[in-house]
Amino acid sequence: MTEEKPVVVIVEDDPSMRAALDSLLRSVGLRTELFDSAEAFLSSRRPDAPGCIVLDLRLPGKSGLRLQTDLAVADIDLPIIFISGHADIPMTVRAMKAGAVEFLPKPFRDQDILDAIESALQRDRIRRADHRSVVMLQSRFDTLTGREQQVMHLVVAGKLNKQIAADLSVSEITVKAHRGRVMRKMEAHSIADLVRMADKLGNAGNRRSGHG
Amino acid sequence: MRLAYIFHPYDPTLVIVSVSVAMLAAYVSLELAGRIRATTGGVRFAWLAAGGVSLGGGIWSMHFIGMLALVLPVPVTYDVRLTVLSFVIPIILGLAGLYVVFWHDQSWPRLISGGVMIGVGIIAMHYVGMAAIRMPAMASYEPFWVTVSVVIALTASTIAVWLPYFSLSAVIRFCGSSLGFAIAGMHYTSVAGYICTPTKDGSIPLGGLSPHGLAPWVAGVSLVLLWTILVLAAYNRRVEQFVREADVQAALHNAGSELARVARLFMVGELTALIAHEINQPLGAIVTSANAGRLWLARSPPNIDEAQQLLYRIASDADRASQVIARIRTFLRRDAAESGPIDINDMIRQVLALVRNEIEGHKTTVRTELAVALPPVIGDKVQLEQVVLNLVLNAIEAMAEVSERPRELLIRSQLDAWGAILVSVDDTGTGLDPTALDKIFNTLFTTKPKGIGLGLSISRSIIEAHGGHLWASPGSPHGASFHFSLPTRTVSAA
Repeated sequence: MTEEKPVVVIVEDDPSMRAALDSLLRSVGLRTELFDSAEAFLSSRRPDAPGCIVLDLRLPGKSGLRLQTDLAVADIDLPIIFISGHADIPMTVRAMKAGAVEFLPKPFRDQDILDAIESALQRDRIRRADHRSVVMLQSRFDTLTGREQQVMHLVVAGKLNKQIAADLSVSEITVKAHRGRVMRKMEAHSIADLVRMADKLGNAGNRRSGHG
Repeated sequence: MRLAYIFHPYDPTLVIVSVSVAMLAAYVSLELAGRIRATTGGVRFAWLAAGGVSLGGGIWSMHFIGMLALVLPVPVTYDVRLTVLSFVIPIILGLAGLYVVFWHDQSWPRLISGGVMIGVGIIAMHYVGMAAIRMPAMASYEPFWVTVSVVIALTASTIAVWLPYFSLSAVIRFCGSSLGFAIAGMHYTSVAGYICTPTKDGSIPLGGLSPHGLAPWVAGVSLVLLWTILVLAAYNRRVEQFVREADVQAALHNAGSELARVARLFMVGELTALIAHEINQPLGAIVTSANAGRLWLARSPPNIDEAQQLLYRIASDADRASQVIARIRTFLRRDAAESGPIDINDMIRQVLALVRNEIEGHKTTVRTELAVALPPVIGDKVQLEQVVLNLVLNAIEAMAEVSERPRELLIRSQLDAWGAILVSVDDTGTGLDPTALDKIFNTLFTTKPKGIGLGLSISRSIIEAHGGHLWASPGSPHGASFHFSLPTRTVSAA
């Protein structure tokens, strides 16, 4: 499981600040991508690597807060660190409620932004790993036949073979066979393992529908 | 032998004249003395002298008019030396009394001693004046009336000098009459106790001034008194007018500069967020650059190129920050009446730089059509900058609600047909209500929910102080246009 080098996206209209941030992040070995507006960032191709956004609150055109909303709607889950020259409390609250990692008033200490970036990248790594495992489980789940999926749902719901057989009007032997195939195809080592997988798939499904 | 002619008849006309002279003298002298305190330097001596002479002369005139009114059973002449002495005594004592009371700050001992001096002056004048009488008769006094006359003179004089401290003109008039009462009252009380017993021979006294010879002098002194009061009245009117004008001028000036300051403060309030951003932007860049530079240098091998670039950037950002501060400082300076040549186009660009964030925040596009090679305007840069800033901020605000058409701010500068510089600020905002077009420049008139209605009225006063005009017109097809013209060879009156 090789991890690509993380990318920090900087969206900042002030050229001086943008360049300074770029230099600071490169000095600690981070990859950066620079944009002077929200629009420029949205029209760019995003690399498939863990990342985060350092976002100026006040931007020409679409503001930082607006970009945050748009990204959430588009289901782009990059963690956001806000920076601002004149943050007021309502704006800060709004940004944090919408899931920002950190809100740094300018001028900020280098360690503060580096820490914030580190935690944002960590968050993104976990999210990406999570996402990858869900994708993997989903593909395993997709190899199950309809009957096997039914059996899996009933198994993780805690039903006994006898009950499942009764529910599906099949013999207990058949249930056992389905169950064995489910365990093998899902690569589950125990019932508990299978329950966890089902949980993960269920959550991912819920989250997607929640965002839709 | 006693009470030969204790009751003497009077000429009523002359009695009225004598009392009037007493009142007049009292009023004039107190009025003059009252000025001692209000002035400084040598003028104080002049007021004191005028007051003392008026008082003494008035007392003396009153006395002799009163004597002319008195019909004695014998012919009368006056001893010249004593008559002159009776003229000098009240002047000296009057001067002394007024000096004691009015020269320094008020105190009870001064009031009383000054009042007593004036009272003594009145009494001494009277009895010396009486002593100057030469007639074929024996003169004596009823001690009771003498006592009463002395008490009246002393009391009324003291009250008279005490009363001006209420310092109301009506009161001063009354206290003038109080001193007048001291003079006239003392005289007639004393005369009431005057006993004139003609001697047997009834011969006419020789030498001395006859009453007729005395009359011109008395009339002269009275005339001088009248003249003084006229001069005083004229002077008063002038002074009051001057003071009133000066007051009005000062009030206007204060109100004007106060208004300008308040307006500036309000604008500053609106701009605070903007300025904070303007300052924090370069500061943030500086801090980040410095930290980045430190990290580049800490690497092995240190990256000198990166560090160098960062140092350049730090220097230019620091410069940027100091420019922002300089802008704010000139903006806040209260006594900003500096006159100098101004490049209008430069100024417009500077104002636009100041509100750059405001413009971008409101998604407004700015176009400028600035004529090249404009002659400089002479005036106060800060004030004119404030006008342009005000117009630009108004335009941005007017367009804030507009979404169905582009928000466009157009600033133009040109030379008009009369050689004046014409600056126009056009917006595509909500426009102006034609009925409000005349009122928008009025103080405290506003169409903005949070406005206070000072910006445009101040702007107009500033432009007019520079000899120019500021006016508005509806934009075509939308919005509003504000224009101001400035003559190119005017020294600012601001």
